[in-house]
Amino acid sequence: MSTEAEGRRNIICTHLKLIALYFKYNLQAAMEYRASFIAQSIGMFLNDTFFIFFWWVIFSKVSSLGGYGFKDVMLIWALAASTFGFLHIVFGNVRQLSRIIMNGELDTYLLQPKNVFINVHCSRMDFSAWGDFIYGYVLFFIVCGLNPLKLLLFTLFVIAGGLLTGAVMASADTLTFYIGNSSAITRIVTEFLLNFSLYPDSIFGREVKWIMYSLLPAGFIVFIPFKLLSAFSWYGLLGLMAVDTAYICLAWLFFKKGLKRYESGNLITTKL
Amino acid sequence: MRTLRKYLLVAETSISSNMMYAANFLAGTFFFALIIFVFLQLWNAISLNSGSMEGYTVNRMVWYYIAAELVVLSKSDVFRSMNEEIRGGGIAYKLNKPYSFIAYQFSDGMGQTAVRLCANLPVGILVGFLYVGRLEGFVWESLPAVILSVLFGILLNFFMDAFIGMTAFWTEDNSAFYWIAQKLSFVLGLLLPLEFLPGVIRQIAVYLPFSYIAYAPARLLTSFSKETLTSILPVQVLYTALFAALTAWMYMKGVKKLNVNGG
Repeated sequence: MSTEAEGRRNIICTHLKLIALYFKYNLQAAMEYRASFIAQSIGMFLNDTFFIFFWWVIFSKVSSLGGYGFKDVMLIWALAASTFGFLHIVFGNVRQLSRIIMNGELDTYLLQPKNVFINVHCSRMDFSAWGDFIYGYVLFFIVCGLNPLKLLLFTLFVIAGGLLTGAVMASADTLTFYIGNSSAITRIVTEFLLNFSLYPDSIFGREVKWIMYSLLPAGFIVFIPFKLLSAFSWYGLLGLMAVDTAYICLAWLFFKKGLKRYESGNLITTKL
Repeated sequence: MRTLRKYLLVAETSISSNMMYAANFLAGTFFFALIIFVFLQLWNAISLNSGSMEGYTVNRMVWYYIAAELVVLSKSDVFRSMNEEIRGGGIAYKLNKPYSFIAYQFSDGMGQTAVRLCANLPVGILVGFLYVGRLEGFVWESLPAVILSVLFGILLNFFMDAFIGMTAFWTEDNSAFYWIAQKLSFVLGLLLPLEFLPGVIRQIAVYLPFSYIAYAPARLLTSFSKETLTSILPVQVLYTALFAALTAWMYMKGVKKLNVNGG
């Protein structure tokens, strides 16, 4: 029994090391084109800041929006930006999975002695996502100040939310194994998650909230973390982590099942 | 006449190749309906107490967004296409062909736009009627002006994107310019009508080209008057001509310093 547990621990450690190595080499690759990397990151950062102006104008007309004030909305944006940023930095292939399956490019990953699901996702980094990631932290510091405990919680929510978002997007991409190209479904899922993470949840009706807390869990990505940052509870935190874990496990199992249907195109590719 | 036929053929090819990706289309129209739904909820919450704001009721606001988003979401991928051609060296294969590079991109882009417009227009009208009913105070006489303004909004958007795409001749990565220009057009007329902006910013925005992409047709649709028409449409035409000329000038300058390696 203890050998089994040790083996499981080893697998987790090996894959965490794999993610760290991919991160390191992808960052080194970004640094090879430093000017482009910095331009993309700053560009994305500035791109995000325009939305502060939008909300500032809105809140100059109304004092509260469904119970949310200007600072609350900024914190929602901070969470959403850093979460999506984290996901695309560490798991940069998250929007490419459908294409990779369609083109038969999974062969390369299948030949490697690592979990295909993790390996394929973290082998690429989206450089512009650094702008989103940093923007979220800057907004967080502006809204919450230097509060180490909140910072720790914020970071935990960014990582957990990123993994949850990735799990949902990967599940949409996994449909490619069953129905052929599902990139359009992934696009719809991504747009839904993004758009329903950026506006106060109180503006939506009950039906939409059902979707936000089930099939497309924007509520667990941004709004529950937001509520926990405002009023922390251990039950809330543990509940959120349990929900996140369940979604991630389901996505992994769905992918594992789908992978059995994968047909190689015998495409010869070079992965550098 | 032969020249025109050549470019019409490019547009036709673009239409047929875009029609092949029906799923992408559906995703695009779904996004259109989704974004209008989100804005409807947002403005329902904002106007809950006051009923209207800056003269915009929820009904007018939803139709405003439909017209504005119709222009923005029907635009072509000319920026990405030009970027790929110039940075990837694909332009080298286009230079020795018997057509103008810009006219080729224009025909291809308009083909894409035609397909997106045809898909988005009925969806826009349908969601408008479903969400808020008929546009309050709509006058049929405004329709030709609105159609013209939508077309010029699309053309202006195309040439602004093409102009930014041309910077690929000089820069390693120009996506930041594109994002910033895109967001300026978002905040100056797409996400918010100019009437909502603070005084000084509104005055500056009137002189900038960004609001003539989405705000102009949306404003004409929701608050049509001859004064609005004469103050908006000529500026749209002027800015479109200016950016078309700037794009051609940038191309002339850029193509001279083009250096493509390999074959």
